[in-house]
Amino acid sequence: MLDERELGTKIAAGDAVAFDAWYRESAPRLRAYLRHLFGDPQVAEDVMQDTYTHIWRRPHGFDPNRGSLRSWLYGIARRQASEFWRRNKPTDPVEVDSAAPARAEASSLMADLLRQLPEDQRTFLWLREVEGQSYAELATILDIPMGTVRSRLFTAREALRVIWNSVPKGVPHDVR
Amino acid sequence: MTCVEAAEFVSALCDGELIPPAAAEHIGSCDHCQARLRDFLALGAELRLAASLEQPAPVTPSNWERSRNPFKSFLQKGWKTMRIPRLAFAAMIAGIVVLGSTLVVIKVGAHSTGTVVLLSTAGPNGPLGDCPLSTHDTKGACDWYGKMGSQNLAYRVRVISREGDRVRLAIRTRTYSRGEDLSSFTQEADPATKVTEVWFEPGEPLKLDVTDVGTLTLTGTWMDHVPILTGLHGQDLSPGLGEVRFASPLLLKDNKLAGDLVGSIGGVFSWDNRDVAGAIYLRDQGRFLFAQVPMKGAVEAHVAMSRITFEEGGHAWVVVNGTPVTREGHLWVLHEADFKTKGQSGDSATFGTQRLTETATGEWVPAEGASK
Repeated sequence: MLDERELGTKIAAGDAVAFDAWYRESAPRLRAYLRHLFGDPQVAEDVMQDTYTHIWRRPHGFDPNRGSLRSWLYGIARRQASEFWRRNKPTDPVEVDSAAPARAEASSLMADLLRQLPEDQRTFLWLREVEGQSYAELATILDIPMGTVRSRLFTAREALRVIWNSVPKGVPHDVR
Repeated sequence: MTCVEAAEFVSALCDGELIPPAAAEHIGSCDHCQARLRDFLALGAELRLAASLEQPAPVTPSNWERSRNPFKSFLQKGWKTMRIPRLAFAAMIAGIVVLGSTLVVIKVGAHSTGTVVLLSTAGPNGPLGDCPLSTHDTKGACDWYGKMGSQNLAYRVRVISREGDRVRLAIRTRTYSRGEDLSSFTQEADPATKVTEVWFEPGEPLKLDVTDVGTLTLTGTWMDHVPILTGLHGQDLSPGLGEVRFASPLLLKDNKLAGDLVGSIGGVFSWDNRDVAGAIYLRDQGRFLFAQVPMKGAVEAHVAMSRITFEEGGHAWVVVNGTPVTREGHLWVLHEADFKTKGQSGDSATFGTQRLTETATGEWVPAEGASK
């Protein structure tokens, strides 16, 4: 098993075998993150492929001294997502149709609630709570000072809490 | 401490962070904050539950080797299934390889995780200078006016858009005579101005021919910040992220010299700890603490390049520093007019540091006995 620095070195050197192994291992989770970001599995798939293709074509950007391979990957994915929104929905990247039924992949109430948050708050919560990214990794991915991570996380949690508590009683997934 | 003040620390607790004792004490005895803590923890668990319910389907296999060498399979296939004369096919391939090589070279130079292009332009007479262009704020432009060859050239570049590692540049050029009114140059419709739009990839020089002037060569590099000082042909004097620098500062009070700290710092003094303040002590003015965090009783100062400006006590203060101060546009300044140094009364002006501590209410104050 390669450690991260070795893996990053091989990827930077254009090692297709190492890259493919990393892709197979990391892509499912990245895709899950992008699905929650976009709410559309096809868009998530496209952006995920764009992300890995971007890295494959320009693999030299990874610097182990600046952060983990994972935070580098998610940072690029986030920029690809921003690029997608810029091309496709320049004015409203987080369009939420509250009247529409949940889409096929949105199997839980939480997924629906999450989509009511602004993109940056969804990103914060997903990367912290699901991916377990550290404050330092979040700062790298989101390109913000580490000192603001704590307050931004709080803002995101509180926003989700407000939405969560506003769900009418009697819904099966209501506050327990 | 109030619930509002403690709220952020409730969130920090969920992340396994240590919090100030006062915040812990409040949260431990406050039903409201404990309810918030339970909600945050429950929401985290719900999020992970939702993520776990989604079966991670295997990803679509991708042939990375093939995508990197698109010509290889094309060549092999071409030879095997050729329906045109092989000589014509070979000629076609030669053309494609030339084009393809150009594309590959362009890609090799691209490696961007930045948002700012540091653009350098050189004309027939030499460099025109460096200019940062942000891809986030496309209103900014680089302007240059001056003698170029036998002509006077007005030249303006700005970023229109970004696509991956390249940017779309709008370049305006116009030659002019001495004394000619140039007010229309920057306006959209100026018949005397030539407007060119080109794709530009930092790392790859771009040649631009300007009639009667010659060739301008544009080169660029990606940066993750707007450099504090430009015009140094590739040298970046920006402080690091979170870094504060002082060198031989002067302090002006209402535009009059209040203190000169020449010689008080050997070279450049810098720090990047949030809990450290730079301390300027002037025997007649007391002590000024400069920090990146809001100190109790401090005022916010505006920082631009090497100047720190602030208003305090009914006076306008300016620190003229010998180096760019910080990448941030502000610092917090605490003026302690009655402060006296201990045992150093002979020094009329000194520079040092002061350790800060965070209070339970989130304010920062000088730590007792920790100055130097």
